[in-house]
Amino acid sequence: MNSNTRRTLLLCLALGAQGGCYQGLAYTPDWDSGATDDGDDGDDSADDVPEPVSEADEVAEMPLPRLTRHELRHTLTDLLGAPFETDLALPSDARGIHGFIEGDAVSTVDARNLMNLAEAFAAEVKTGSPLLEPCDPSTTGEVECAERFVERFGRRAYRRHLEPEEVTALVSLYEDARAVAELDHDEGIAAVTEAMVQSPHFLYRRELGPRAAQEVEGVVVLDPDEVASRLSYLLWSSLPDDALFAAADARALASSEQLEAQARRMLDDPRADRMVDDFHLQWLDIEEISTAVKDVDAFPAATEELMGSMEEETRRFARWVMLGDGDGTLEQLLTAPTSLVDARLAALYGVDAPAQPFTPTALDPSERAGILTQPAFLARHAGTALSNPARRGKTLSERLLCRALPPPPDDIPALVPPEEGATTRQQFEQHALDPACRGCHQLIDPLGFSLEHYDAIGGYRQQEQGTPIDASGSLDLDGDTLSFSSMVELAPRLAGSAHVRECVATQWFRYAMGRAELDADQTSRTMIYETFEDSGFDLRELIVAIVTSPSFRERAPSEGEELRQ
Amino acid sequence: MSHFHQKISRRNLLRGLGASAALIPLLDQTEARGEGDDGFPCRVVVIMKTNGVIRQHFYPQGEGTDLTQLSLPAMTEPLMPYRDRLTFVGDLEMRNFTDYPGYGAGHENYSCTFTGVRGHEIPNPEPTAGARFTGGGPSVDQYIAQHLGDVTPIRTLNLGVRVEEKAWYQSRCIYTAADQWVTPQNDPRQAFDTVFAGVDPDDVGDPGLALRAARRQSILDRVGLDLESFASRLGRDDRDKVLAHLQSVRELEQQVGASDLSACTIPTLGEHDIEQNDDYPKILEAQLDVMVNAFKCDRTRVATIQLTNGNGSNTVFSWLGISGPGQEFGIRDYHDIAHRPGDMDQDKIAAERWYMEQLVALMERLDSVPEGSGTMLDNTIILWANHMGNGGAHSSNELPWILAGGGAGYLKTGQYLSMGGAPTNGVLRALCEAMGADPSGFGDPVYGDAIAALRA
Repeated sequence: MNSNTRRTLLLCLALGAQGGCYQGLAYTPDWDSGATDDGDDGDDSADDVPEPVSEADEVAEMPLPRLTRHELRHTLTDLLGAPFETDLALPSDARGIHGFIEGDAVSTVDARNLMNLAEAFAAEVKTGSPLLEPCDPSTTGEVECAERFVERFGRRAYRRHLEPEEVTALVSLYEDARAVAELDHDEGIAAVTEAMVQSPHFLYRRELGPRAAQEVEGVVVLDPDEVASRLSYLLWSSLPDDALFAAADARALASSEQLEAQARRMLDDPRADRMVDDFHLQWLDIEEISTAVKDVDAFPAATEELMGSMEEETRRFARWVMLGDGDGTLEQLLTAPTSLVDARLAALYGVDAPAQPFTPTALDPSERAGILTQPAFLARHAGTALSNPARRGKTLSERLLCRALPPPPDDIPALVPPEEGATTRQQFEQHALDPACRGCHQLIDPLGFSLEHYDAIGGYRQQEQGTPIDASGSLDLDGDTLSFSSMVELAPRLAGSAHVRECVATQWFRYAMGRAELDADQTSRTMIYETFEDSGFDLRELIVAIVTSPSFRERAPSEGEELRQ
Repeated sequence: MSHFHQKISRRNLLRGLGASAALIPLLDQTEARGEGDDGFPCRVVVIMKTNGVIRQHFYPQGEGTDLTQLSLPAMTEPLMPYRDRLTFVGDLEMRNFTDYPGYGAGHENYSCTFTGVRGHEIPNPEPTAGARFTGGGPSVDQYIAQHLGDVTPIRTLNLGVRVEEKAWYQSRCIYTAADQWVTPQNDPRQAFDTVFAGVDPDDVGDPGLALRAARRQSILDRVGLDLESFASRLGRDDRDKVLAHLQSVRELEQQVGASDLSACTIPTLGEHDIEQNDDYPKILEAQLDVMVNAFKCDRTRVATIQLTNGNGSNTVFSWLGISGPGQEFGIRDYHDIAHRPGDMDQDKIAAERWYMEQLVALMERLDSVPEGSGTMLDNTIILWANHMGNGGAHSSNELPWILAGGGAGYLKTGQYLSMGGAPTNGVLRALCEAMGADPSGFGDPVYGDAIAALRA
């Protein structure tokens, strides 16, 4: 039995197999399924809008997402149908209050960068792109070809069908640009392409075009095109594929079964790697590991190449757990004494290099347990020469335990220089004696001490400055005080903790929703967690549960938003 | 946020461009204030520094307020020959931050250094994300730019040297409005493109430039219309975000316009790699090159430059021979230097002294441009700001700010003013006055008015 079948079976056994997996929240709204909507029929009647499954107090506002850099790169590549590689600056991102990256407000500099990017992209479209092919201007006519291009490219770039007035406006731009800037047909197409790539309809994810959202009893049920985009940007960091567009056109993205089937199909597609990579790099705050600077005197091995391998290892490992031959569980993610390494990392781990780089490699189970004992995490949250238990502990506390920390004190007192020969742990313990520091450090340092066997580049060590490593400590979790000798002992207990499992589900929820959780999400989050639990804490099932939850496809009207009743 | 709602028509934009780009003095711009007696416009440069200083090595030494009679210690010694061209404003406090309930250590205040209102903390379920602490209103440069309007093609030139790309409270201090930060341009090449519309020295006079500009304007015009209609149905918060984007596109449309660059000296930028720490001095030099040349042909009158982040941890002063493992942090970077215990820190002295040499370099460059009976330095007001006073403690008081240049006759130079904990708004409002913007509209009035002693 392959792992997918096993997972599906588990889930359905747990929930009862008839009528889809989510009987508790049977959500089969009456979209006029079967009717295709080519988008220009202007039929906006309320008849084809399903009854929401949520009450008005069970839905939250969805902030308008702007494509992040990661999404922009993948979207342009997928639009082009070929890798779109550029060293141009992209519009800036910011870390949102939910802890994950989001597209930042577009400043003038960002607008300029976007213009440059659009020009580079349009140059690619011009040179023999399949996007242009089905129309020959010499027989069909140049304006007619421009119009067809706008409709076809727009369907994918705007992730919906264009309204007739939008097509007209873009064709006018084609004609105007040709006239004022003395352009030929191809250059005119390029000009239109640039306008579309800079358009808010491309850059922001709200696939309604000129229409206002439809409200039913205080709830906005997302339009099928919006649901398709939500699925594709969560799972693939990019636009929908043809199958998903077709499902949106057929209004076949409404029931939980339909969404579940799409999600499973999309998880099996190689593009799902993008989600797994993006989530884990952001969750563990290791996006910048490949450019981290280490003290090369202390660590001659710490080359740029090694730092790059660290990032690749964690990407490959997360994919292996969630999308590959791994068992998909949170437990495996946090405890596997296995990783996917190349020769450089094998040397760091002290194991033989695998025949093929980045293939599963057994590690010493007394030294390593899961993603938190991988060099990317350990080195990213360390200094250049020394480990940094406070920083590692702070990251673990916030990202794995969802425990916020109070703000730092008014005046951080000058640090006392370390005594000669003191270990890192002793230095931090000394620092935490100061009453002004103790409050935070007693919350975060013990967690960080659990990783003291790992130096600033993630190598395993038995001693520091001639003193044996002390990685022991204790942690309050699930109402108990856990004592541990090191992360290898702690990791399985973290993986088995209800608190940690809930936090991981919450982090995925934040990532998928692009916002922090709110009270109104309680129904959805309870359902998601129960499904996650029933699956044996299978992370793939967690994704499926999130996309089929009401929070994913129903929202509250935004304050001041223009709506159709 | 009313400025976001101003609809700037394409026609007006083009008219503005034709009128303003080339002519200095701007005889037909009667509404432009902040001008000197010779009719040259006043420019403002706001420089943001981090990590504080060591008081006894930075503050003027001796009795009295006549700076020209005082000596400057090791860090500020490079300013000695220019004591009559600047005023040292010591012992300021960033009250808009220290009044904040439960304010923390002095990195957070970076974001509200130039806004003159309390920082804005956005409730955060998970402060790893960086307790999101942002400026609560427009920064002083943006406020002044709003007053000046479209008198120049570029409202503000917001530059940086190795400022972190990630937007958070330690990397953003320029705001157009509450929570809406401006990303600094770290790349002199981009700054160059902004100022000179991508025109290289070799391109001047190329007729293709006008066609390229017309093409870009047609496209951006369409994008602007899309943004307008897109914004109209959104909820309030989303709409504000999209309208800010619209404003950016309108400004870009103006910048890319085929303006007359004949009054400009288009500089040739030197080679540098913005990713390389060691290129920091070259990057800074190139940024100042772009800035001064932008002033010379009146492409802008308002410039800001952020020198590293609000912590300096991405800067190692390798060119001063300072590197290697840190004393408290992993590496001997600028942040590690600031935290170094004790007062006799030669690395800190060397770093701050180097920065003062850069201020001198900017002053000398401005002073080399004759304008009327004086120089461009006389028609510029430079604010050298630091969001920390005592570097080791990261304090928000004892701030030593420096104002340099004549401010087109506004600034009384040659002074040492000890402010006894007065709020920094006194300086920020003085900048507004120097530029002809209503100081009473800037910042929170509880933090006082412009410091009278700064007026000539």
